[in-house]
Amino acid sequence: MSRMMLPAAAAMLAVWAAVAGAEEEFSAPAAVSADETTAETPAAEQAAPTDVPRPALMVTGAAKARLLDLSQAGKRLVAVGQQGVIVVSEDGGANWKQVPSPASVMLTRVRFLTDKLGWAVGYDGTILHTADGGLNWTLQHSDPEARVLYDVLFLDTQTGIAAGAYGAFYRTTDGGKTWEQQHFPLAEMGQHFNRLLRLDAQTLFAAGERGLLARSMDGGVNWEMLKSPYAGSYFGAIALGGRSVIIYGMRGNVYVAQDVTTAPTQDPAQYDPYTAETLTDPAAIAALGWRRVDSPVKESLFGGTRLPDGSVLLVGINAVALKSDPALGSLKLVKLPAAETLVDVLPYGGKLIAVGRRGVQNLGALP
Amino acid sequence: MTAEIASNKLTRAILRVVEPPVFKYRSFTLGLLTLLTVFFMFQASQLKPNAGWLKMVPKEHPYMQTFMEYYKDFGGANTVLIALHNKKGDIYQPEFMETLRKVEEDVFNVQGVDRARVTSIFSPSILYVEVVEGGLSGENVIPSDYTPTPEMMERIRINVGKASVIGRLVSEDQESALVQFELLEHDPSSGTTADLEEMSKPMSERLRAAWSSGARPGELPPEGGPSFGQRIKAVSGILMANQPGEGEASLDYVKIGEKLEEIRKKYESENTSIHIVGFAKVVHDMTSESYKVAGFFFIALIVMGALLWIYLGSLPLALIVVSTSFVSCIWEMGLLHLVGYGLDPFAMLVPFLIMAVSVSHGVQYVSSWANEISTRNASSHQASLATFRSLAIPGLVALLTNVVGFLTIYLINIQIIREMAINAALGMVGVIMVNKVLLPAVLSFIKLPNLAAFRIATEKRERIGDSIFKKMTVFCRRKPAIITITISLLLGVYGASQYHNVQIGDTTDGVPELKPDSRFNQDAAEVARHFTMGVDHLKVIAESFDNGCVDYGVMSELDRFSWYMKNQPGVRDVLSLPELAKIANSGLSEGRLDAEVLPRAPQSLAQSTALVPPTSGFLNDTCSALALFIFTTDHKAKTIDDLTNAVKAYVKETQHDHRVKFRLASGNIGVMAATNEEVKRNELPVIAYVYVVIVIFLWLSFRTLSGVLCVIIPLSVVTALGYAVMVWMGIGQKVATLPVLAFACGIGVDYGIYSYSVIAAGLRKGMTLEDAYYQKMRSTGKATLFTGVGLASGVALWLFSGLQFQRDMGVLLLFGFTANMIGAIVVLPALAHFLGKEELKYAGHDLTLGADDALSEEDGKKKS
Repeated sequence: MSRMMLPAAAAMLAVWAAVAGAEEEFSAPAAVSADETTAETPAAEQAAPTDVPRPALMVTGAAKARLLDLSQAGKRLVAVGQQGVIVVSEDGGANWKQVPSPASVMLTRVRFLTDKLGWAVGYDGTILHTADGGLNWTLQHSDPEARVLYDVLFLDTQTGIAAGAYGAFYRTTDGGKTWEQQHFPLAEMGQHFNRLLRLDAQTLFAAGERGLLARSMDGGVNWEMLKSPYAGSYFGAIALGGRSVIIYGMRGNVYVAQDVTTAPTQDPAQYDPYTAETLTDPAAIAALGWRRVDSPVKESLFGGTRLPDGSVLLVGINAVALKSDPALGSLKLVKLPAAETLVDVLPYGGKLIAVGRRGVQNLGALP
Repeated sequence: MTAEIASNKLTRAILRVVEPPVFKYRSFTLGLLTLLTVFFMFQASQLKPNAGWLKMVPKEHPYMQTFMEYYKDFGGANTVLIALHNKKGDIYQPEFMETLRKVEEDVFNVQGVDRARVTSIFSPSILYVEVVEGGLSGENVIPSDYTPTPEMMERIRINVGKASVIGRLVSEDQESALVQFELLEHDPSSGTTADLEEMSKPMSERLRAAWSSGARPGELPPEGGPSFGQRIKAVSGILMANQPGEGEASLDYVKIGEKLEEIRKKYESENTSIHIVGFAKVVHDMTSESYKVAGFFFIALIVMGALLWIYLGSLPLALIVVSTSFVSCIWEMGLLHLVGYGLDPFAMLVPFLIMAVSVSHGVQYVSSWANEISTRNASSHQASLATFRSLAIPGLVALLTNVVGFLTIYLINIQIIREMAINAALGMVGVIMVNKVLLPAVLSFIKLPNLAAFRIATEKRERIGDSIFKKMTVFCRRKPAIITITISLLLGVYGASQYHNVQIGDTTDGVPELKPDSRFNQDAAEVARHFTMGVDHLKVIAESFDNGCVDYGVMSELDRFSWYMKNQPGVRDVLSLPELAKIANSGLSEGRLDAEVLPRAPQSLAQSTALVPPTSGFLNDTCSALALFIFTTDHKAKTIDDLTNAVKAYVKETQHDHRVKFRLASGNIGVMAATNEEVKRNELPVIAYVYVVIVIFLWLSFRTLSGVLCVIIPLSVVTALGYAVMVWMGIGQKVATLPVLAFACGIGVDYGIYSYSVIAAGLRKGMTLEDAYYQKMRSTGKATLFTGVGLASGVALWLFSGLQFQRDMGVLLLFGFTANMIGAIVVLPALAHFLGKEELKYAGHDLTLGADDALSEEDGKKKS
């Protein structure tokens, strides 16, 4: 979508610059007044500072920051979000404290391979690593030119992948010490990878922008693009056991596949996201290996979780929450005691904890 | 010795000049004064209530320079919020939505509202953008095809969720909605904000410019070079600036307040409650309340009259004192209008003070006069002349001390205080004219109807007092004196030790001007409960360079700063261009939360910031300056102090991109910060100046160290104890209370001068201290006692005011008057016990200057 906007943005910028320039000619020079900080060089003459990762500010309200993801490291809860905020809770979400983070960019995902080993990713290609369950973090990768990473997935302590916007895709085989950007046809398409899932030892699944669905049968080295029933973006996917997944995304679209390894594939080079169409015929959808789950709302869904009873809970814009029946046949609206957009939920000790625009929200009993 | 004689000669010379107009040509003088009084009465009737936002602001403070410089770009601090609460559930109901729309429409049409800064969910500037399959979709939160139908309500509900206005324009529970707007400080129909830019220059620069051109800013300099007179006129014009004059009309807050109240009346119903907060509403409420205080004035006048009647034992005499005091207030208000000021609710204090001072002097005069008649068998004229001679000089000195004392608060560069200083000084002119000219002249005509009865009554009354006064002479003895002095010094030390506990600024929740339980403060609490936005906000201006808002470095610095500030205690929320740009970027990025960031690419950043119009008040036209709104939980001095310190700490320790210059401050909290700092900076100097002036005048009037110390020590103990009172009562040091301690000193020195002058006169005549004190108590002491009680009961009425700052002022004045009275009659003689011996050096020198001669003169026709 952003590519489409570029010409428009450039035009807007040009007009703006012209207007600003004209204004400048007419405006009288502003009176320079004695101010405490005037002694320094005028602002414009100073050089822009070097663009290096800076540690996140340690603040009192970190748990109220925009938080983008919530994970479990053993009994500890770890959430990440804006301004490089990483917060942890040792008591199931009642109390949170910020831990130092070597980056102050927005972090979008945190995942743990074991109780101790975890990774977090975010803007500027940032990849952080922890070896003590989320208390101390080191910077493994960062590059101001790099795209935002939306997900990270480790298969073992050495092998991992990280993927994100505009087809950004990195791979490591040394536990994250070095990350190599990967180039393959699906990545070359330049679509966002929004979510990576591991279905079994070597089977991986990815969902992303504008109908991007993909699978890898070899641990993420080679990827095949699946045919998508929907032309809009998928924001997330949940593994349902075996090779079954549920995917959800923009404007309340939710689909379920029984076995993604048998779904038909297509050649990424032949796929044009701008002409792709959403299928409405259930038979046509079924032919692609998917089943549409009708949603009572048209709000985008950003996150979800599998509840202990086998049902799925999906959350999104303006605290909208949808709960499926255990058979995943339908979705119904549930009212959560939450405010503003939610992006992730996690059942913990019989209680539901959510993160989103308002930070951590303890939502009480499971719906 | 020689100096003493010379000074006596000088005083006699002065009296020779001033006596004839008062006594010889008294009929002419009375006629002239009557005409003047009628003239001032007419002037006073033209006085208009006048409260201006800018008047309470220290314009020279660096914060305020920022405020003025960016006033046009970012508006000031003059925000009004109208919250509509739907008692029947959420806002998405046709009936409620219609009310909201109509309220916004009505607000839009109120004169003085900055139409570019009216915001509600109905505003075209509030929109949301989202990406849908195959393209962009964006519309106003209220769609252009709005009709009040249930289907439309559902669309609005969804749009509100997407536009990130919850907490700002729609409450957390979505049961209230807000109409937010700003007022133009100057009425657009009659003036411009050009003066504000002028005001942003330092005073010295403005004065220099005015002097060299001979014209006030905005005026054409005279041709052929300015004359000396024109230069003076231009400079004085600036010094008196901001009084509404040519081409510049202050916004009529009261009118706007009334209009808002009309809107409330029109739309408030059993289903919808309407809450209005904002300075304009405060002024409106304050003005209505201050009329009630004007009522107190007359109650005080009547109470004072009744007390005088009892005290003087004569209704006509009581009426004379009350009515002459009233005349001095007429003079004060007439002069006030004549020099072009209005009556500010803050300055309501001044007429009370003027009346107080006038009654205090009037009583001294009348009781002394009556004393002459009843004890020395003098004629009315002789008695008045004798009184004039004994009291004219100490009285005038006391009054001049007051005038200069009041004028010292002019040093505080806050216009409202300066107006108060000028107002009080003008009032003192009235007091001097009335008590030193009008009253003596009137009394010389007065014949007590039943002189014999009056004498008997007087003697009887005096004998009642005498026994008490006789007992009170113990204060002059050594042991009681030591005890008294020790206690008062201990109290003084205790008070001074409390000084650092006095809060600067406001100590209460809600608007400090109004009582905590007033409708306004309830409204404010209601708004604060439901919205993250409130009236209390600090604006920080971030200066960078043209198009700085498309520079990622600049914008992310601001973003980091916003995040830093948002996490400071006392901050509810921070709103800024980066914040809005992030929301816009998210809207352009499929509405995803993880896109609520500033995009690095300049074109994407431009695209996001372009969605925020300059009228939003977050950026200027060239995008070289951005305003950050920091909404606070309250406006307590500590909160404000912590926040300004946090900004400074950020700049010092955390700021990374130094191309951005963070400048404090605008918004009402910015103004309060500047005001608090100005008050803090001035409170000690002002008191010091007042004391310097008092010491100089005391020295001039008594020429003895004893005279200075005996008056100044009790006075300073009272001042020190005043701090302890402020701590006990939780009263903060602020614009309203800063002048009060100075005023209290003014009254206190009055008591002291009257008391000491009589004691010293007695000592010089060879009386013992005890006798002198006894005489003093019988004459001026009794009057001091009486006025102290009378004045205290007058200001005690203030405790019933609906305005919090008037109650604070009342508490402090009540304390000041009472404590100074006790100081003058208890501590002063104790000090005189040790210090008074100095007066003996001047034995024989008559401090009362020929008062006794008056009795031998024949109705004032002979001159000494």
